[in-house]
Amino acid sequence: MDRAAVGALVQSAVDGDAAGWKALVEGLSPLVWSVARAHRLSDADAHEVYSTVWFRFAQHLGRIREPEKAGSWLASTARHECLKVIKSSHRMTPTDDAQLLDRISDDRTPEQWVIESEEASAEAERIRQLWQAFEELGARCRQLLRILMSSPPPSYQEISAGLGIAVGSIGPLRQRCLRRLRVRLSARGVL
Amino acid sequence: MNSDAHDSDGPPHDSDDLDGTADMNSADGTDDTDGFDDELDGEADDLAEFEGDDSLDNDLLEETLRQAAAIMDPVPAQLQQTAVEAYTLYSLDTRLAELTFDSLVHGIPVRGVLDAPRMLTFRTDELTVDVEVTAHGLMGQVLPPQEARIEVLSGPQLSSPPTLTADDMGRFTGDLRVSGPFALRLRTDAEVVMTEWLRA
Repeated sequence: MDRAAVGALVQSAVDGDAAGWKALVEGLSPLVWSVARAHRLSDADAHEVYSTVWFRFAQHLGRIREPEKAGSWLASTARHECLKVIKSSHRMTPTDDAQLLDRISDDRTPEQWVIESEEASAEAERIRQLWQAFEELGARCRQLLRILMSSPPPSYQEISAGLGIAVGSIGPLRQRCLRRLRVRLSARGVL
Repeated sequence: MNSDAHDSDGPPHDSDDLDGTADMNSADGTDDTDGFDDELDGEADDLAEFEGDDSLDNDLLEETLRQAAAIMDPVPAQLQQTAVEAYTLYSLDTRLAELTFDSLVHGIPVRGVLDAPRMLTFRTDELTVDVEVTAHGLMGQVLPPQEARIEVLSGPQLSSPPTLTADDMGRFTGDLRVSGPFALRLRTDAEVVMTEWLRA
């Protein structure tokens, strides 16, 4: 989301406009969700982190000093909550690839079922292949790409806040990870 | 430390070592033992010198990934609705008690203790609330000592939340199991104070 737009929406929410708040939620939800997913949280933990972050953002709304950076605030807060989840070790999510692949085949979202039941269209299959190739990438590429692919495209500042990495390293990492993904896609004959 | 982050949550680098991201800053794109990927496609790095040529392809691939994410891993609609409803938590007449200590971040692990209680401290300029969350319930202390009604909130729309009472020494306790997002709303004689939302 464009910074100026975020700043304006925060300001209107501060001024009491519920529609401004709703637009903020719609525009920045995918970013917050992607930070939780990038940290490989389970569904339940991702739900709790996402909720906590938005509740806290509402609480801080009148106190945010740089409204145009609300996206980075949300991403950073989400990251810290994710790290706490990971730190309470008994709730740690296993990350070995076999388990991830299981998740793809056994735990499909309604959207996936729709795709598959409607028709095994080439496009749906392409998306499935793409997703699977993405899931098979190394941990750091998965992490970076999962945030990068949230919609609307996040700024590098937001990605930096969500992952705790320097803004300057994001461009090179992105190139590297997309290149690796492309190699995997070629191997699958998808590209 | 990213200047964009308005950290209200303890020292900036509190738990960086946990997920292996701490050394990402030093990734230089040439080290193959950095966990970016398995060794299977190490040969991909041979393409490094052609980077300049694939920027258009990269943009396209990124956009395709974006479409895939919207289908394969969207924000659950009901969850997003909770965030929309959270607007009711925006209140200017409630004082915010910020989290200043969280044992999960700052605590020293006790050897052999798996389920150590979560210790939290919240502060306003005038008031401190110490809270201990265990598997059995919630206890704590308001300082300076004073009576207070304490509501335990777990979400934006809660008409009659569970309530605890702090005695004249400021102590409160309850066998209330807290899990997921929660916040305490304290009503003292002088004011209404709300703790920062946290995940128990």
